[in-house]
Amino acid sequence: MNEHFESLRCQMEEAAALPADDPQRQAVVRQLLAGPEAEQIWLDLLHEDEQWRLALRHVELPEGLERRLRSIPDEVPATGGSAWTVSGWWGGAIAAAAVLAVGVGLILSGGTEVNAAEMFAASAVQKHLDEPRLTVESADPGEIASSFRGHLPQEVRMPETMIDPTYRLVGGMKSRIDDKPVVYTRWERDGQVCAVYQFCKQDFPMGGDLAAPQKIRTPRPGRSDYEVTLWTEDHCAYALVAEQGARKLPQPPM
Amino acid sequence: MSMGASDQSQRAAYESWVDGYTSDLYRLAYRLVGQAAAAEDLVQEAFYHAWRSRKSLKDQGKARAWLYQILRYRYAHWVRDRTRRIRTTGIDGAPEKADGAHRQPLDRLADSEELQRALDTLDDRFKLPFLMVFLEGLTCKEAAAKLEIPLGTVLSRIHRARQSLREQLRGSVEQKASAERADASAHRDDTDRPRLKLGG
Repeated sequence: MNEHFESLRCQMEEAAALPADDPQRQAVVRQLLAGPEAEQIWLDLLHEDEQWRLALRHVELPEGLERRLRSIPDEVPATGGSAWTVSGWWGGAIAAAAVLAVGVGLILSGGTEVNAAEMFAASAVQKHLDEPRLTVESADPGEIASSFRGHLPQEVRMPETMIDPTYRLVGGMKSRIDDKPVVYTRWERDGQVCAVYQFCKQDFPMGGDLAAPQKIRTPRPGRSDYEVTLWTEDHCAYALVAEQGARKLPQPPM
Repeated sequence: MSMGASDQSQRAAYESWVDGYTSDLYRLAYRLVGQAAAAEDLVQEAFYHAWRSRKSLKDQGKARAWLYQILRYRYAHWVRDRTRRIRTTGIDGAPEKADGAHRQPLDRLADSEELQRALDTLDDRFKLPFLMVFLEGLTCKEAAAKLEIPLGTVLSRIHRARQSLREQLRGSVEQKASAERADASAHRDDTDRPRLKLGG
């Protein structure tokens, strides 16, 4: 199969997973007029997608599961109803937890309580792992700060505790975590990539001055863990995301 | 002690979730963890947490999506808590095939065990969006929103999931076919072998 068909097939695969009225899918379907071979690939793909859908459903339900599920309310303490909610920040946090299932792993506190700082850290790791496209590429912290002025209620500035000069600032972008503005900057040294987020202290549930930097480890199945260090300086809060074992970028005061 | 009207309606809502969504949630749980007992635990945990946080669900029409969200959340816990880390060898471990041969649709997908074995080798980054779209029935856009990643990333991860599953299933089909050929050949050797005449 030549390169053209390989690329067409790739586009088709993506398009086949989209709803019928999606413009991206319609654009691909229009290309099928190019010839019967392309049309056959498309039909095969649609057929295959239906096969995936059907095959994935072939799972036998364990006997008695529904009965066991029905008895849960009788076994849960009466105080149960408000243990945690999925609205507002927590809703985002839970979505973030789902993100972690995509290979990041996560750290949450034990039991049913959700630790807000850990959930924030998990989101920060995930965003970093998705390698977001930098809107400003510059090694000049001043340029980054001026580019994102106004995105945060306070001045955008690199943390003062950034003491390791061997890391090079690559660039930054405006971003959001749970709909709260953050400024993301990427740093690099010998192929190791770290990220520093700046955000407003009051925007996150662990808001307020942190008495000491908080370190949160986020394990990833089959891969090296990530570590997130959270700390505050004046009105700013920062999160450093780095692979565990990597030489740390800033050394916040301990 | 008798139940109040509100308790009764909450209980009724809960039972409607059990009736309506147990199979769907169990399927997703099983496809995620690949073990019946773990999948059952996951579903029970999801319903337990759903019951505990039932008051947070303001719109019963969104119960299905909400339960799926809780299940994925419990799965994230499960991944974290698993003491034995099973190293994935699928997409990130296996070299990608360079040639584009064998592009026919797969005809052995219905073999649930093979499919599950192939799914088990997939990294969660690829498995989760794939299952969200092909099993949970979300659109790619919805999956992207829930996973908080760009649509393009979801599409490319699904593409890679499909590619890897295809290769694994094809490998398993070829392995079986070759075993069958070997069996048939052994059988033929047996039947072709000159038989010793007994007696006479």
